[in-house]
Amino acid sequence: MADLMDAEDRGQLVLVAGFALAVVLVALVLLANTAIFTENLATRDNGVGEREVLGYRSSAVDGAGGIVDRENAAEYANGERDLLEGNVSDGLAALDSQLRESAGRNAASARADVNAATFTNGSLVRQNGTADDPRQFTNASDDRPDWTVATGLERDGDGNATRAFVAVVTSSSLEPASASDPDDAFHVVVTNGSAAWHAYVYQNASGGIAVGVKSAGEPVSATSEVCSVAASNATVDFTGGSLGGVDCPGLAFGGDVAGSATTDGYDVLVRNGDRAAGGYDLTVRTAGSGSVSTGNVSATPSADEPYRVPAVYAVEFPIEYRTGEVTYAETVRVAPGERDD
Amino acid sequence: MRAQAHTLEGFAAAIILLSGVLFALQATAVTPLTASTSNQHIENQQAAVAEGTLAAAEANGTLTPTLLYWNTSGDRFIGSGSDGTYAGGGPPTRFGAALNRTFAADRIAFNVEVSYRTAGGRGRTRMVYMGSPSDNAVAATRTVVLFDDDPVGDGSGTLADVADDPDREFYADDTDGGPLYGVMEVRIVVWRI
Repeated sequence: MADLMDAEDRGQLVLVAGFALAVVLVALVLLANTAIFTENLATRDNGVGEREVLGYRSSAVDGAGGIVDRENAAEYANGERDLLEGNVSDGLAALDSQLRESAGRNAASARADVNAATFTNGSLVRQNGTADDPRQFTNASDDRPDWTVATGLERDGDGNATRAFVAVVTSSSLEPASASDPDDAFHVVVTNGSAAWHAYVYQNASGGIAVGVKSAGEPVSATSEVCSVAASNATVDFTGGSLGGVDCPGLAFGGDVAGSATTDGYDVLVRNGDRAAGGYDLTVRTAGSGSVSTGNVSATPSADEPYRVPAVYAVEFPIEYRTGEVTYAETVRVAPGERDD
Repeated sequence: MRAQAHTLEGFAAAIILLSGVLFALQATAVTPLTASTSNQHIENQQAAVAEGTLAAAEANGTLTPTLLYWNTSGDRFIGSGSDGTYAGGGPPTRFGAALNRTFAADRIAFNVEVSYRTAGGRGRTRMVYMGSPSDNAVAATRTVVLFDDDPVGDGSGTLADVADDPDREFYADDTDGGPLYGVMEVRIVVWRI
């Protein structure tokens, strides 16, 4: 064996040391690469696909809501509730078929069980006025300004009993008033017999269309103007809480009287209906004791009086969405235009 | 003679050493923190932003008017280029403005296409086409439900009116006899350029 300290063989030592260093570096590279690859894989996770699930759910709920509203607006005759529900079911089945196909293309199985759908009876109350052809918000038979729209509307669990209450009003028809004294202005009252919530719609000092709200149990002087808009006409969404398409946070239909804590049925009344003109739509839940006032609302469609037609208030059906990573199942309740609790 | 051999051995060792160092540097050139178009974090982030943009547009109701922004007599999206798609950015709608703010302003390219059921299978219409996506593109999809009474963007009436008019055409056909028109699948593909 050569003497490594011998100057003559130093080249071998350098060569061996070089090889050793090269091997060490290659090992380090492999280690570093493994760590980087692991880190890369670990951060590649983009969730379990919950966004697709929520997207499917919102498409199903929005689509079903659109079908329900459009079938209701088609104004079926009084004895045709079965036909109405059948057509809503057919629409839901068509929607389910297309959503299922779309989910299938994303390697997911989606199903809305339309056969298990349950319907909640309701009535659509409408008055066909528009901003260009406004009609006063009076009752059907004798044009009284103070009248009852519906009585005994019962909430069901989390669901409310009035939805999609939208009115178009013209500024010129409204009573000039202020939040401190709105009694002469048009207002909608929600009452359970002991407490009453008021929403006033009037022309405020600056000439805009204003909405004032008085909570149950407060004196009329405690009314506060929650929002206003300067326009010749505006859409007041009592249940959606908006004025002229802009969110109006203080406007929550019924306040505590129609809130989730209440178990009593409530009535919806119109006061000073001759101090507002335009048109309106609302859907009320007639399951249980709820009913639309027969004397004040015509039972057949009418050109210039408020009338009612059978409607689907809400529909519930189970949906299910499955991928390799996530299973989501829920019974969704579709009642578009309810107030947010 | 021996000194020459030593010198050569020394060079050989140096070359091996330097090759090792070079290999090590090359092999670790792309780390998770390296700024690169193929960076995984960027892909994740772009995927999340694309999903979020679509979800927000659907929630605030700007997605549907964009799908309906169609010239029914010219058979193309309103104001689109000669091939019927938008190439330089999003469509001139609120959803298009959101796409431009979110992606185009950050030099991120995007394609938007709409697919829908047809009588024979599935149809696909390009809305925005900025070119062929790179290998590191990410996609997001969202389904939107159109109804017969939805108004078309060129003011020619509702989808049902357009379907009844032989001189006008919408890119998708009515797929249902009821109030439902069809379920449109909006897909956006984004990638860094």
